Amino acid sequence: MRPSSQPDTMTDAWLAGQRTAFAACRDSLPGSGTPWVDALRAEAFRQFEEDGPPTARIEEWRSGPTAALTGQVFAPAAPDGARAAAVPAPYLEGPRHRLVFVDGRFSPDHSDAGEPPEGVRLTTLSALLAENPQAARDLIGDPDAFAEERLSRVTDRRPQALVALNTALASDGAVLLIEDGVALAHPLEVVHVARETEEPRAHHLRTLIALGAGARAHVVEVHAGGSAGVWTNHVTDIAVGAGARLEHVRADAGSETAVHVNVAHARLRAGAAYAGFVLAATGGAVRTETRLSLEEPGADGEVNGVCLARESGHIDALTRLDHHAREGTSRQLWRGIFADTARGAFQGRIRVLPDASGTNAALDNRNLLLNAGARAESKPELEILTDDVACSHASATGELDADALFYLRSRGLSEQLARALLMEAFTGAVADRIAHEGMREFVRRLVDDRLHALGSATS
Amino acid sequence: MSEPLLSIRNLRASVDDKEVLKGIDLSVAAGEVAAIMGPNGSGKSTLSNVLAGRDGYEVTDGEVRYDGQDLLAMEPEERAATGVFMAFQYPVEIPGVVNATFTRTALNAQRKARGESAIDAIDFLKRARATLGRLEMDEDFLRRDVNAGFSGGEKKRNEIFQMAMLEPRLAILDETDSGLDIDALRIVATGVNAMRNPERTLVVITHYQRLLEYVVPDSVHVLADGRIARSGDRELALELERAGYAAFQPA
Ligand SMILES: Nc1ncnc2c1ncn2[C@@H]1O[C@H](COP(=O)(O)OP(=O)(O)OP(=O)(O)O)[C@@H](O)[C@H]1O
Ligand SMILES: [Mg+2]
Repeated sequence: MRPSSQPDTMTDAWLAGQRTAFAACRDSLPGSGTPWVDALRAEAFRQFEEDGPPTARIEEWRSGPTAALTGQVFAPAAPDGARAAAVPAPYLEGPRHRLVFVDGRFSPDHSDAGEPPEGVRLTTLSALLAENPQAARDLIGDPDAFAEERLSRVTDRRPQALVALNTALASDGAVLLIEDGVALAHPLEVVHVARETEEPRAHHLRTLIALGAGARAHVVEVHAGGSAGVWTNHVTDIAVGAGARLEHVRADAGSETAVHVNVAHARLRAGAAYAGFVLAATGGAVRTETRLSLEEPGADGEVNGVCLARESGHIDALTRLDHHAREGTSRQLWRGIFADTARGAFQGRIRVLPDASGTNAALDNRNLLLNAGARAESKPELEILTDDVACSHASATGELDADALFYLRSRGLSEQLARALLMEAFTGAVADRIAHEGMREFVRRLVDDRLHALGSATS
Repeated sequence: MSEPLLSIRNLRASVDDKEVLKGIDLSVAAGEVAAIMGPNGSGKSTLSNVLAGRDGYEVTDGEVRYDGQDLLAMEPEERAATGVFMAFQYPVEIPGVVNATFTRTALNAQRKARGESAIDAIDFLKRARATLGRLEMDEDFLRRDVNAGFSGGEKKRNEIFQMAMLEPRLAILDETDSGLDIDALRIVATGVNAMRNPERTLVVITHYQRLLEYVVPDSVHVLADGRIARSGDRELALELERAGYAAFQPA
């Protein structure tokens, strides 16, 4: 059995390390010196301390990579212009807007924001807070849009220590604000490059996306680079206005040894649609959370993901879909493949609140284990507090179908090719759900690359 | 006579420690069509699976030579590349893998193993369309996932389509006729007959004389209780149709 928590001495040291980090960089973070920002960061850090470090004692972290996170103190990465970063070529083909961040800071040299249409504000957190902090506060829409208080309302349950720590320490991130009725015709590609590091380094990244009523956008967030000493703690804060639609891809394209925590929160107004896709691929540790709040009638949420882990990698995927209002629909399709001694956990929760009659929600999680040492656990949770709903969930964990493998091999495919084809088929159904063709092609290529790594690691 | 393309000598094989093949002796020449008939559970599919190289069968004795090679020493994909094809009694559904992609991947994997160049997508499509036409199959089959949601008869026709595309030297058809309606049986039989040539060997496993009226066999063998109990010409099939297998059942 896994120990139920780390020794307290370990987490004490970790907490002390975060205190030192906050004290050291609080005066140099974007927006510092602006009273509301300073107050927000101080309050967020206080909340972080109150919530305490993620441990297996916390229900939502029971199968999380807690030891990988708190086993060492990752200090926030300092700006270091001297070292060159290996910035990958654009992932999306065709016209796009591209923002690149290196070690958690905007890199204008590598970015190409293009010319977003009128009614679209495409910028960075640091620029927004530097140029006009008061306006920034108004621009973001909700007076507390970038406030810890709002995030906690979305999550509806504490502790959320890492989100609070992110609010306290966020060094930069992409900001996309779209006015009512405006469509961003070309997708936005946000790339976070982490440089290799010997010392443990943390990157606290914050993306902010707010779509006005009827707005449209496609956003891809990719993590690249990195190494064993890198911890990224990335929060994407999303608001989708009435009748607006956002398609959002988050993908790991970098080192398979880093530790990633990715959290996306989205609030959906009436008739809004959010379609999210997550690719987690690692030999290290990944925690990916997606929390949707369908706040008004007729909202539609889709959260799909592919998890690929090998060696001693660990992926912990968590979804929380809260249906607050009537006639909401949601779908979740998750596929995991685990090789070697990797392990995966999927926790998917659908909550249908008393006012959400007419809800239709479906969740489907399946996992493949490629080796006897790999493990996967699947935990769908339905909490239904009203009548007149249609909710379904399915989950299964198994091996590659031996009959199918033999069928393919008997027609001439090598074992490796047959396995690859079956794995592609297994994950392809998820990637197929991406509506934007360029984004879908990008995800397919990336998944195939990662499957290849998985296949060659095992055969 | 020259060496047979396939020669099976005293083949014994077990599944889960249960002996199913109890000393099979069978030779089939190049260009020959051999029919294997026999009661349910007598080992016909086991024999096909052992020849195609499926896991889970333990060969305890005997040998199988195919075109001068030790067939049992080869991986399933090597057997396929040297021309062995088995049409499954129960073709496997593979959702998410498109039939055209699969067939072309298989064809090119075999060609590559034989040191031949790959067939490009356009040439493949031309050939695939012509083959489907001959088998009176809809082009839609190419776009559908391998056998997924196919009716029983459609699955069997898809096997024949694969066979026609892969052009094997030794094709083992395991009850390809069961589940086919009368028209489909005639079409499939026409497809099979079209493949007959002096170089190609067919082993046709069937329960019914009906298929053999279309695909006329050169030899007929009765497989009963894990052994070839009797061999003869097409008259033997007619006799079995009349008298059944009673004479071959273990006492
Ligand atoms: N994987 C297996 N596990 C256990 N028993 C098996 C397995 N495969 C075959 N057998 C047994 O071996 C015997 C022969 O089966 P086989 O499928 O070869 O028969 P068959 O002649 O093809 O029958 P049918 O005409 O019904 O298709 C049967 O008793 C069957 O139960
Ligand atoms: Mg059989």
